[in-house]
Amino acid sequence: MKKFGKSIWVRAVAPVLCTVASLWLAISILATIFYAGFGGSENLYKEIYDEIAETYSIFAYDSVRVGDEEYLEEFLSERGISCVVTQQLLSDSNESTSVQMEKFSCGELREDYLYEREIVDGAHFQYSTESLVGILLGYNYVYHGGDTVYDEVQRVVFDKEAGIFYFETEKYFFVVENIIVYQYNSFTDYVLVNKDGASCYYNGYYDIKLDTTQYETWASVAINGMKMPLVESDKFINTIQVVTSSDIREKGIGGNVVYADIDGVEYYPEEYIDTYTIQIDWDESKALEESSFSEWKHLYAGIIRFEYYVVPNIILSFLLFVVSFVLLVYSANNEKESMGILHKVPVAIYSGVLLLAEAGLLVLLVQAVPMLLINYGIGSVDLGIVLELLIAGVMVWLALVWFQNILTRLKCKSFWRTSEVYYGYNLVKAGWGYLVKPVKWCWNVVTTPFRAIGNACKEMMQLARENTTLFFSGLVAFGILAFVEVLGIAALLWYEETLVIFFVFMKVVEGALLMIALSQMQNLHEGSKRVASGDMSKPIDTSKMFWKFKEHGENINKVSDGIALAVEERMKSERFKTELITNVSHDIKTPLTSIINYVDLIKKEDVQDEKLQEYVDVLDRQSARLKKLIEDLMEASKASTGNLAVNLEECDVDVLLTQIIGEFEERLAKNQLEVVVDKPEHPVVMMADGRHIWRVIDNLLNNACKYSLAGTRVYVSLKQEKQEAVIVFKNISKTALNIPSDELMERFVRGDSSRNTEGSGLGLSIAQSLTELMKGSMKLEIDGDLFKVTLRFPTI
Amino acid sequence: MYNVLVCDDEKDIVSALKIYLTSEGYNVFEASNGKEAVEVVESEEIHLVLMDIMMPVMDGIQAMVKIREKSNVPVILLTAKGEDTDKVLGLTVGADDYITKPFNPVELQARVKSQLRRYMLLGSGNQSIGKARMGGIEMDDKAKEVTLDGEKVNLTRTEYDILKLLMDHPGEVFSPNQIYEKVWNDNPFGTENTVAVHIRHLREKIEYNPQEPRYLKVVWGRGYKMEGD
Repeated sequence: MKKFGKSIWVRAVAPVLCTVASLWLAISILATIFYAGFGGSENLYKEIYDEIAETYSIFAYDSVRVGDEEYLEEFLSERGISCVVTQQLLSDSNESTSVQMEKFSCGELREDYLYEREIVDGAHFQYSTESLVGILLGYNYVYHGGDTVYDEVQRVVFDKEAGIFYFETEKYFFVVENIIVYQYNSFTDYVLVNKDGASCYYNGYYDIKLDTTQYETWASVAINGMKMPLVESDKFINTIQVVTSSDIREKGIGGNVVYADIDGVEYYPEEYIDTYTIQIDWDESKALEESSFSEWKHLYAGIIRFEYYVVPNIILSFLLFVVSFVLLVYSANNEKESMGILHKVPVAIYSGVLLLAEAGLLVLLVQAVPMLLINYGIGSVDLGIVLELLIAGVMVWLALVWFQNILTRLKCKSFWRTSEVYYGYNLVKAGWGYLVKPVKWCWNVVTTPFRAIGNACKEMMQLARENTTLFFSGLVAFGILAFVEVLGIAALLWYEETLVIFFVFMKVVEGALLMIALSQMQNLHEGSKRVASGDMSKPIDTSKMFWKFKEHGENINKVSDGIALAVEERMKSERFKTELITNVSHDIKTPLTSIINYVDLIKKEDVQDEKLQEYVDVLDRQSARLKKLIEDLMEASKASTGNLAVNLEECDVDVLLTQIIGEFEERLAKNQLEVVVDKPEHPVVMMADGRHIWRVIDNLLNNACKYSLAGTRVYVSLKQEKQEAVIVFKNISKTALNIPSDELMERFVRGDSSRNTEGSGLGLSIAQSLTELMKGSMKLEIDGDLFKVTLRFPTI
Repeated sequence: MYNVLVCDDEKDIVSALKIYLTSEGYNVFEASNGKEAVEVVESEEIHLVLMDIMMPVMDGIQAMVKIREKSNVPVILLTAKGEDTDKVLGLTVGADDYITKPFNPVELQARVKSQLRRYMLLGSGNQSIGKARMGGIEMDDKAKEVTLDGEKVNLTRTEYDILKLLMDHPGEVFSPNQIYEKVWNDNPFGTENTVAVHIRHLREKIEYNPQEPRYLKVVWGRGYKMEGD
């Protein structure tokens, strides 16, 4: 069994456990901070109710103002709202008018839920609670209503009194968010106007007001990146028309201008602001389950309940975290073999990929999922929280797995070996040779002529020193040639044609000499090549050669004759030896036949005398041994001189070994030897002569039977290595092998201590000769008592 | 009573052979060289010739050619020359069998018997129906009996099945795996040497000299086959 910490299960479970623990711990800590921030659950509860009251009141007010009573009724009843009271505080006087929604009879209002809010006058515009109002860039469309409604922009207008830019659509005016104003007389030339001119950026400084009444000095205005001039008439497309506030109001009654809360900034002119107090009361029990109020309440109720368990939660989750983290560190493997592919991916690539995944998950966590839930209202708050927790969990888990992985690499001391730097270093090391080679080659090419000149000078000097006669003869010949040429050039002074005649004459002579020299060189070259390759039958024809060439050719011929003679003598002696052995064997065989036969005849006679019986047995055994000796001797002599026919055929080594070991099974068992065969799954087919390979392995296994220690194993293994079949025999020697392996191969040599056993001592020699005849090789190794023979044969 | 001519320049060998053959019940004629052998064959009714190759006056090969001019009596060459080329030469000039010196007397007796049997009996066509025959081996599939040169051979069931398979397809090479599949009707996994061991036993029973089998031959590295001579 594997150690507990090294099991793959522990390794897989540890990060998961640690993830759960860390999430738990994080939630517990966050909850604590949360309570601390709100000063306990009571305050939190109030905060929530305030939030809800605000949302409801704005909604209720807007609905009343628009006059959609039916919708309002449905809205209010769904949420259990029983009473809405609005009070208007007039800005110019301190009087207040109280307006009570007629439809809703009001009882006693709960003080807690009184909600006061500044709200803009609804006479001429609409206040949108949907926060998304924007422009489709490049297409002149405004989208609003949760980006589900698109209105075509008819023109862009500038309210010169309020200092606000609008997109004008068929029904509405939409406030423009971002404007850049370019001025003639400014170095920086632009001002970013954020809304009505009340708050803006100028030249990089915040909150420097742009005087919107000075719009005549503006060069142009860029809206959504498109530069447009301001004009007083509306005749041109792509211009901003300057209008007055009354123009805006004239367009229609009842909410023609959409003001919206964009990125927390409220856009509306100051004079529109009226302050109302909205009082709202609702009955929680009547609220529908799926209303957001119920959901929030449900959620917060859960959080509030959690308050009482904060301390044990933190303690427990912290403990679990510590335990699982220790387990994680422990489970990081330190065994090199069990390192998977993930542990070999270069460190930075692995970390980078994980980091990317983390970044993607983070986007999901803070952006995509909340957007999805809010914009499309998919699922409930509960689902959202579960989803977010899941994503956070995956993030933590990924980080822990990364940590575990890096830790494993460190423990296995392979952090460096799996880093990019190391891989890169290896790559460069491998590439270095390829880099250096061409440089070397170029250097050689460039320096070759210089070296050639240097060598030529050196050789000339050597010639002058060692063979002065030859050097000077060459020099004189060269001088004469040069002198004749000078004469020819001198002749030019008298008569121009002589030069041509002279030139042709000289070149013919030079060319002829060169050709003769070349042809003789070629003859010498071919002749020496023949000698080198062992062909002595054709000596070099020196009859037409002259000077040093002739001498050289004759020398080569002498060498060739000498070699031919030596080879012939060697062949003769070899042949003689083989013939001698064959003939002697024949001559020995005839008397031996008689001996064997008569011994056999004596055995058949009824020999009573026990002594005689014993003698006959000795004769029988020794004559059989003599017979074997003679046969082996002949075979060894024939095999070593190559005097045997070899028919190479396809031979399945697998089948061959099965056959031969089958033949030997009983003999091996008799000697208490066990054969262990190790061969590959696929067949190994080599070229061999079936009868010879049988003799080779027969000899080897015979040896194994004879000389192995009883009770040991004989190993036979077959392997395919590249284009070779490798057969290895291994056995343990009975007696100490006190001679080197190469000596063991020599004829008649055997370990002294085994001299008196059966066999001729020729087995290994015959096996080697036969193996070589079949183009294989045989190698003998002795390591202590281990005797190992390796056969190699070419495969197909 | 068959007449056997023994021809060798070595008197001792001739005498030894005479003892062996007489004990088997043959009538033995002697000759000490090729010329004498040819004369004996011409003058007597000889059923089998055992002849040495290297002899004075006329050697075995020449005598062989002379004998073949007149008679198709079986000739077994007996020689110290063991090379393949010598064997091929002897067999091409008309010898029926070839025994190398030093020989095993039992093998010699068996070969003589086998040649005589073939020469004397087979020609007359008394080949029994339902019996497969290959050289001196006869297989009666009904009685599940195998005889070698007329003598019963005791085979185990497996040995018999293997022999039958090989005899039914003379000359065809079967790999050990094929033999296992056909005879045992089973997959040959992990049975490695089983077939080889059975073949070895079988060869010891049906061959006079298992080292140099005449019928059940090993094709090393390929498999086994049966061949008549």
